Amino acid sequence: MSTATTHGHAHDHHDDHHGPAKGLMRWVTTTNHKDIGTLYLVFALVMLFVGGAMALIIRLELFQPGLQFVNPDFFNQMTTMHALIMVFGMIMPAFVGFANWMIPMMIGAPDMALPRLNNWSFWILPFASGILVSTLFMDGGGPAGGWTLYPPLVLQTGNAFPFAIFAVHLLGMSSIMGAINIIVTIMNMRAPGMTLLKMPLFVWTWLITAYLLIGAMPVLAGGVTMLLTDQFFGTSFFSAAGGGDPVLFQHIFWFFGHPEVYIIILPAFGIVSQIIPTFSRKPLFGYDSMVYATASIGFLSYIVWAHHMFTVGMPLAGMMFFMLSTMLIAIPTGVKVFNWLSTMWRGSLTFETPMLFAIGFLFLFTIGGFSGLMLAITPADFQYHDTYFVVAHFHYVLVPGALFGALGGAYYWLPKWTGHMYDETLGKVHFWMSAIFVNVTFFPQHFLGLAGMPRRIPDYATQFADWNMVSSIGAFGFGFAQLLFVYVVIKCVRGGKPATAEVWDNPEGLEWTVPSPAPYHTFDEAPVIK
Amino acid sequence: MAAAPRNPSRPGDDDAVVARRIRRTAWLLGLLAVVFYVGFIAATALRS
Repeated sequence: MSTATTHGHAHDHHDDHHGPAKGLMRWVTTTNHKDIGTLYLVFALVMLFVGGAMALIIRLELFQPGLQFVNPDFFNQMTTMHALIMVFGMIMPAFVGFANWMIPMMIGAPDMALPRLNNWSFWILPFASGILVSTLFMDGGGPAGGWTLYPPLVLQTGNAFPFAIFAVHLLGMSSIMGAINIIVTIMNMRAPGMTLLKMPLFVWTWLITAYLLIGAMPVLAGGVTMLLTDQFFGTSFFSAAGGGDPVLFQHIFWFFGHPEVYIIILPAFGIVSQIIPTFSRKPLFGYDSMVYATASIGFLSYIVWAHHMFTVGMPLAGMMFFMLSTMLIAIPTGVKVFNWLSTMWRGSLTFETPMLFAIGFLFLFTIGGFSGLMLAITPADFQYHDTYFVVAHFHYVLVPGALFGALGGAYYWLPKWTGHMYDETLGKVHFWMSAIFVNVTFFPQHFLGLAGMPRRIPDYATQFADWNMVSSIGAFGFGFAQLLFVYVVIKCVRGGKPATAEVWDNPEGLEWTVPSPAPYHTFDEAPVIK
Repeated sequence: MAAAPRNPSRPGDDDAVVARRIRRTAWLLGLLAVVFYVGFIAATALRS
């Protein structure tokens, strides 16, 4: 368990001559980890609404059976782009933003190890995302074959195809560069005395996430490069007619895609592991086991990929292996849930907004985990596959899982970033609206899936009408609730009750030893860790 | 743009040692990513 404290308070004495540049160029040329963290977070928030608007178009169309608002091809573009934007443009950049802001402060480093690479990693993102969104306006529309980009369907994309592939390459490059920076920073920039097993859990989860990124993103890049050469250079990697194998792409995609799930969720685990001890007023229960559980999840994430493709056909031994390896992940995940609950057990609990989001995460992510276990059972998966049950499952993991983790982290560290306390009442209203509407949106999708409603369709049989209507109402409620979050953030940035250095009641970690807002440069002189 | 000031993670290491270690780790990780990228394409090509 990290018991790091600092003797050195040498954080703010360079402020007067190393402050930020003025104007727009501050943000274009900045190499400061806090500036770049802010850029990532603001960008992710913007993309949350871009991807969210696409989700609302999907739910609007599905409000009633029949075709109402959009044609089927555009509907398919929306499902594809919503996923690509939310995964690559929103949730991953959001957690990289947290990493940029918090990792140097948590390990007592003055900045990221490679600040210029850091700037480049960020600035690739808006261009890549811009290219991706622009495909919607190209001849033939954007990619519409799903975010999995399976051939041969994806090869039917119009002029947008090479642009979408280029955008995915750029987004992958940005992620890999960010991951390199994070690993290098953690391995080389820790303050003296900050041993690996004294690092805060958030740093640990990001270290493992960064390794997953370096292992997984090049695989996706390789896969989409081969799609590109199949389309334009006459190769037949995935074309059966030319001797290739379209199923091979699915293996390649999911060899990337399953670690990607943990790339998204592990940083949220880390944030929740910071929040729960603070508001339980107890050290994290089972710190070492948390670290080992995270590492186990990281390892297991590489040997479960084919559970996404049971229905494609594979040998019985393959099905058994991937079913059992998938179920194994429940063990380290269960260790984590047990440790979070044990941290709260007999703690002096208070329920400020970050804690509410952490507890919401705990309950609702676990629902997503359990439905994941159901999907892991091969014969059952034959029934669930490609139904709304799967949509419900992964949205429980990603929205009240990853997104709630990010929102909880934002509330937790906002006072440290801005120097002001956010409006607690509005924060709680935001939480309860989000928690209620996320369930109204996604819980009925379990029923729809079990009743046989397929995913990725713009129209459906009338027996699915009622729960679809409920789900759409929930989606609009959830979307509007996030506008409240924007208001809370803007209000907090503009003013509010001044935050103390500690912000909360005796929280643990180096970030709480620096003033609020955190000075532009922190830890120019290394703190001493006990 | 100046690189960030660095602090040694191990007592006794000076800035130059840490900077060298940072560069070496970064290049190795970058190389690893390139090997994965090329390796997966090559492996798929051999199988197709």
